[in-house]
Amino acid sequence: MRLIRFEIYRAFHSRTFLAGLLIGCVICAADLIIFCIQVENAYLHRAWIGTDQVLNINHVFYVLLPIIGSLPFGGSLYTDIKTGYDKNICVKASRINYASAKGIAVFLSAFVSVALPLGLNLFIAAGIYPNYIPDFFVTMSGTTLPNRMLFSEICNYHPSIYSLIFICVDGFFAGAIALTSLSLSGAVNSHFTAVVTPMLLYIYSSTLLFPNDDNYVKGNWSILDMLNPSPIVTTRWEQMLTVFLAVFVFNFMFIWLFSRKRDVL
Amino acid sequence: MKTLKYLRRDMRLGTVNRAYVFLIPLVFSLLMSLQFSSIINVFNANNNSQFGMTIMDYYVFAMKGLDYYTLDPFDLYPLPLYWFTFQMGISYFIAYYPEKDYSENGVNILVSGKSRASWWLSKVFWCILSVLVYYLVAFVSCAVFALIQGAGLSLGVTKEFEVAYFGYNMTYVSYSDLIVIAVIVPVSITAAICLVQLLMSFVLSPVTSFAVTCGMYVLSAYYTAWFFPGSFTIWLRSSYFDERGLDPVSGLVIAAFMAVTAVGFGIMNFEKKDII
Repeated sequence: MRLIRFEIYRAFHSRTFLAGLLIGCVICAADLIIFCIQVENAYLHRAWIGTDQVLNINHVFYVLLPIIGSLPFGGSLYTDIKTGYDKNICVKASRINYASAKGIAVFLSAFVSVALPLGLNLFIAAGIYPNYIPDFFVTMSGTTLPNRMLFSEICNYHPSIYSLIFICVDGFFAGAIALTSLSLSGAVNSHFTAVVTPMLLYIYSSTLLFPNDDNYVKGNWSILDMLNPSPIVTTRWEQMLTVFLAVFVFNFMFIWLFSRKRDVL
Repeated sequence: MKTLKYLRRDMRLGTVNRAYVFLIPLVFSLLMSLQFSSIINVFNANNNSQFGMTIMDYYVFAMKGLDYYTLDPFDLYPLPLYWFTFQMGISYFIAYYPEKDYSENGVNILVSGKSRASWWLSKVFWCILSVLVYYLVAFVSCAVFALIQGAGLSLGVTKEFEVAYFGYNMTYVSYSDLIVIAVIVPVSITAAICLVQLLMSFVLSPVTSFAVTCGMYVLSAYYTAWFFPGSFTIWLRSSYFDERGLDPVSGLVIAAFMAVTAVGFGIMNFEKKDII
């Protein structure tokens, strides 16, 4: 427990955490400021970065989501191994405990660095714009079947709850994706590669799963598209849960195997 | 001489040792060639025609990006992922080797070499050469996949097909214009963006500079404007093709300006840097 507290303390007091948070906040602030300047007679659902379909700045946030999540603490295991810091810890604690503490800290820091800017953006937008019920077909214009969208009923009757749900979903996914940095730490040769590779996997998998005329359904499995609250796909919650568990379990297994066999001293 | 010596080392450590990144343009070319091939088949079947395509047709199709986009809140526009992944690949390639080389060997090399400008210039040339090699790999792999699919070994384009597929605007785009907007401008702009990223990786950090570059490319997909230079790498958004698009000559000027600024600031940065 002390080790977990220690790693969480390290994660939330690191400069990289501030950097990740800053990137997210700058994108969210830019979106809201430009929205306020350019758009008149808007309401909360349209102003929040996740469902802002006017400026398209939300794509920047969702493309960079793995970096925003991994940057705070994702590369810390690599740095600890490289500097030999992990030896000092593993003398007193088991490797599995150390890896578990790292995993929890990485997950939490990624969750906060993604969810906090989105939440702040929603909070500030809520102070500026009224929370009207969005127009059913306007908000869900990405598909010909709006009622097939994930959480479409919540979106149409409680838009702010819809935003909060997606903030949590994005945070959880950011945590799971950031664990990829941790699981790759033993295989890569730089901090940069450890932090950026999850984003490459995220983007390249989404490119391969990009919905096209031949196969529109495959797009439902694309993480990039399913995390966006203004989606162009009709992902179901089972698919979202499956993908989350797959990413989480794969990373968990990889970290466990790596930590179990690693020769620390 | 010193710069050339450094450059040889950079090419070996930064390019040859990390050649696996060139799989990105290779896979990109494969996917785009397959896509183009199926489009030709459908097109020929629908129009009862038999266009004999060339390798240049395949390359031009692969580099097309997406049409000019006008902001419309009622029309969700997906990010052009193929184009984005291609551009992201070279940004990833450029991002961390120079900074890593500086942090690991910089002190020894800069002190023994006695010329910081030479070291920085070698990184600049390495960056430009890497971009050229990256595009060359894309072109060669496109050509190979095109040849496998029965395309002719020619650098010419099939004008009738281009007009029929891309629209009547292609009538006004001469071959030399097409080479400028689909080959010269994208390569120049990509090299310039990479040089700025290279400088930023020393000023900020490799991860942050990579994130900024990716963010700029995403915005370029939605805003066709000179201040988002990624738009110049999409030839469908050139003013030669679409009157709302960007002037390719201004693209070349912006690329030159970015490159000169990055080189100048880089030299100033390294002359002042406390390396020990």
